[in-house]
Amino acid sequence: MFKSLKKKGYYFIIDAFIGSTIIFLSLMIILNEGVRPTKIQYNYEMVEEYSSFILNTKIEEVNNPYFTMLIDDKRINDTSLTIMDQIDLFYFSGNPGDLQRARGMIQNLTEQLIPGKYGFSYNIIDQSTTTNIYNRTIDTDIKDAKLIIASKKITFLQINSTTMFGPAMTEIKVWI
Amino acid sequence: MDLKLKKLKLSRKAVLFSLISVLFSVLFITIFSQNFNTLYEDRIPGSNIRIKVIDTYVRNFETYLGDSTQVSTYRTLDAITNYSYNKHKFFADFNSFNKTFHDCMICNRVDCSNVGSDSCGLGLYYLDARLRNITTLSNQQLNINTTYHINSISIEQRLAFEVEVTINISYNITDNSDEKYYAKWSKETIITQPVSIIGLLEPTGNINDSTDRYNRTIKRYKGICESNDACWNAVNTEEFYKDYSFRLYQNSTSFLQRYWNDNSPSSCCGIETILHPSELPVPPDGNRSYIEHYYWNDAYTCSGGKTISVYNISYDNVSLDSGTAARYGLTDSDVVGIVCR
Repeated sequence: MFKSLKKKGYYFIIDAFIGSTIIFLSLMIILNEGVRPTKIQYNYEMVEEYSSFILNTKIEEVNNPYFTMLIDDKRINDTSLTIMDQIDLFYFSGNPGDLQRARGMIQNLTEQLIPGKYGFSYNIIDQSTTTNIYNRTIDTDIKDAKLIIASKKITFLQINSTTMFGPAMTEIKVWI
Repeated sequence: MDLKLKKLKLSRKAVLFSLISVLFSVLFITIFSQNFNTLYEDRIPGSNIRIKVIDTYVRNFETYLGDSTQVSTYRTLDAITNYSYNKHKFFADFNSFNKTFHDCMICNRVDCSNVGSDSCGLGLYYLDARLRNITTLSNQQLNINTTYHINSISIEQRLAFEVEVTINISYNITDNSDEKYYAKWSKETIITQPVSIIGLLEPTGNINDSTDRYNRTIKRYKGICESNDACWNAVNTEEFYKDYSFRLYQNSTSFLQRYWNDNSPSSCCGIETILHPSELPVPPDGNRSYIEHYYWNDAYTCSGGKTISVYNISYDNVSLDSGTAARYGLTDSDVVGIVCR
C-alpha cells in the first residue's frame, strides 16, 4: 500500500510540474503576443534605420564596388562626407551625370538593405520642388499600397566658403 | 471505512500538489516578469521613433548652425569690406567693427536698432535668416517647433589666415504633435567656428582706393620661404610677387585690424604682400614703399624719412624701402633707381 502511495506521490509531483509548465507557457504565449512588434512598427523602424544609415555613414566606411568606382574615377573627391552629403552634392551640381551617380549610389545600397518585396523611393524636397533620386517599383504601385511609410530628414551641405545647399528635406518612402 | 480514509488522504495530497503547482507558477512568473516589463516598454513605437526623429534633428540643428555661421561670417566680412569701400571710411575701433559685424549677422543691416540703416547686402545669407529657414522647414515638414535666441556674436583672430567666430545661443526644441511636450530639448550653447579669410578682399587697400584698380584678395603664399625668413632672395621674392599672395609677417598688421586701420603689429596674425604698380592709382606714388600695409598708410615714404629705391621685380618697377628690400634679400644690384635717400 505504501509503495502504491509513493508511486502516486511521484505522479502528483510530475503532474504539478506539468501543470505549472502549462500555466507558465500559456502566460508566455499570451504576453509575447503583445510584446512582438507590429508589422507597421517593424517597417517603420526599418525605414528609420535606413535613413539614419544614409545620414550618418561616411563614404570611407562603406565597402561597395560602385562607391569604389566613383572614388577611383574622381567623381567622389571627399570620402569624409556622409552618403547623404554626397547625394546632396551630386544633386546640387544639377548635372544629369551626377544625378545618375546619385541614383546608382542609392540603388546599390538599397538592394542590399531593403528587401525586394518593398517598393522604395528617395526624394529630395528643395523649396517645394520634389526631385526623385531613385525609385524602385514593385507589383503594387505606391498609390495602391496597403502600407506606405516615410522617413524625412533635414539635409544641408556647405559647398564652399560662400555657398550652402539646403536646408532641404530628404524623404525616403517604403511601401508594400 | 478504510477506502474512505484512503480517498481523503489522497485528496489532501492532491490539494498539496496543486498548491506546489501554483507555487512553481508564481516562481516562474516572478523570475521572468522583469523581461516582460522591459519588452512591454519597447511596445510604444510612436514615442520611441518620434524621439529618435527629434534627436536626429537636434544634432542636425547644431551642425547646421556651425555651417551657417561659417558661410554667414565669410559673406558678412565681404559685405563689410564693400560697405566700408562705398563709404571710404574705416571703423573707429574694434568695438565699432564688432557691433556692425554682429548686426549684419542678426538683421542684415549695419544697425539693427535703426530700421532705416544701410543694408549689409547679404540676401538670405545672414545668420538669422539661415536659422529661420531650418526652423520653418522643421515646423512644416517634421512638426518640430524650434525657438532660439542668439545671445552674443563675437569675432577675433588667432591665426593669420582665419578668423574665429563665437556664438552664444539658447534654443528650445519641442515636439508639436503632443500638447504635453513629452519630448523637449532646451540648451544654451557656445559654438566657435574657424572661418578662412582666403578669397576675401583685403580691407585696407579696398577702403583706401577710390579708383577701383585695387581688388587684391587674400591668398596664402605657400612657396619655399613660407616658414623661413632667412631664405629670401631676388628669385624667391619674384616668385612671391608674381603669386599675388600674402605671407605671415609678425611686424605687420592682421586682417581684422585693417577694418579699423590699426597698424600695430600682430605677432599671431600679421600678413603682408608686395603691390603691383598695375593695381595702384595712375600714376603710382613711387615715393611710397609698395608693401601693401605701408603703401596705404603712408608709413614708409620719402617724406617719412625712409630710403626708397626702385627694384626690378618681374620686369616691373617696384618701390621699396631699404629695410624691406633687405628683408626680402634684394641687393643693390637689383636696384634700377633711387627715389629718395
